[in-house]
Amino acid sequence: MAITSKEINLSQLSKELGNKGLISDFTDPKKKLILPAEGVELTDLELKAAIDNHVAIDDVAVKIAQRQTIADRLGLTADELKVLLG
Amino acid sequence: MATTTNYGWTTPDDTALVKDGASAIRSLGTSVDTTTKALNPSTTLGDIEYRSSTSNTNTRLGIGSTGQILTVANGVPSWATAAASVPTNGQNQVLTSQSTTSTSFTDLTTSQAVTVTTGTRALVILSAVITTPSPADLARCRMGFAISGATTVAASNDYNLCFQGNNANAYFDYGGVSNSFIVTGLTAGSNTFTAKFLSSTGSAATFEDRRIAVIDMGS
Repeated sequence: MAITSKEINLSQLSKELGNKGLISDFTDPKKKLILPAEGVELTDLELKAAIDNHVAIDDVAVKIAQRQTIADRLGLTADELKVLLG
Repeated sequence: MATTTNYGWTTPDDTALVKDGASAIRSLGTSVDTTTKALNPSTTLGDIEYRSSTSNTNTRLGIGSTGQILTVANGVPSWATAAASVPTNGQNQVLTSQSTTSTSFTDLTTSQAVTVTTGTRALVILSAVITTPSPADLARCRMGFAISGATTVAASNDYNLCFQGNNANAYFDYGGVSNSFIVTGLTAGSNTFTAKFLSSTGSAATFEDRRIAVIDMGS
């Protein structure tokens, strides 16, 4: 188990660990709990090292940026694209 | 002396000379009285009788208490308190938002189980508020359950609720879902139903206000 206050993108962290299943509880942002899922062999040291090296990608920001890029290429504003997409 | 067919009461023979008619009648009457009382031992309002192990002798069963039902115990009738009308049941709720990237069924950080004494069938109700990974990920976020105790069954897609984000216009999909199952083939006894979770793609699936309820359905 690891406890951290770092920004964590759990999907990304899982992939960085070689697609190892993780479980987490981020209720307390200063004490985010991360554990291996059932049947996953991952030591606390391996998990801690991965978290230390982890730089979380903000999925929402990426989606917003992607939407803006698409809108730009279509010559639309992001809001116009949103309306068109329904 | 002749006797009657069913109860063996003594009567004068057809050919016998009746020397003491009063005595014969009194003897027969006494026999009839004894037999009748043995067949009808009731003494009190509400009594009923049932056949005892002795022929031509019934046993008195006094009336039961209000609400009791007639049942059978040790091969004879008796009054008993009716079984509770509410079946054995249990529920476990976890409000906290927790996630998994596991592609196989796993506990979340707070494990979640209900133990109920069941027959061979049980109704299991699952519900959760689920946030999928990004819609493009198309992860199927599943909540299922494993059974342990008297019965051993691993969690599987046979019994689960599934929520999948597939709306390309949304950043994330979020919603409350529920599913229910009548599970058969249980071994009667104390069975523990433990909620399990997965994300089919390994991207983070988040579950909150998750509940598992189990109701015994008998055998």
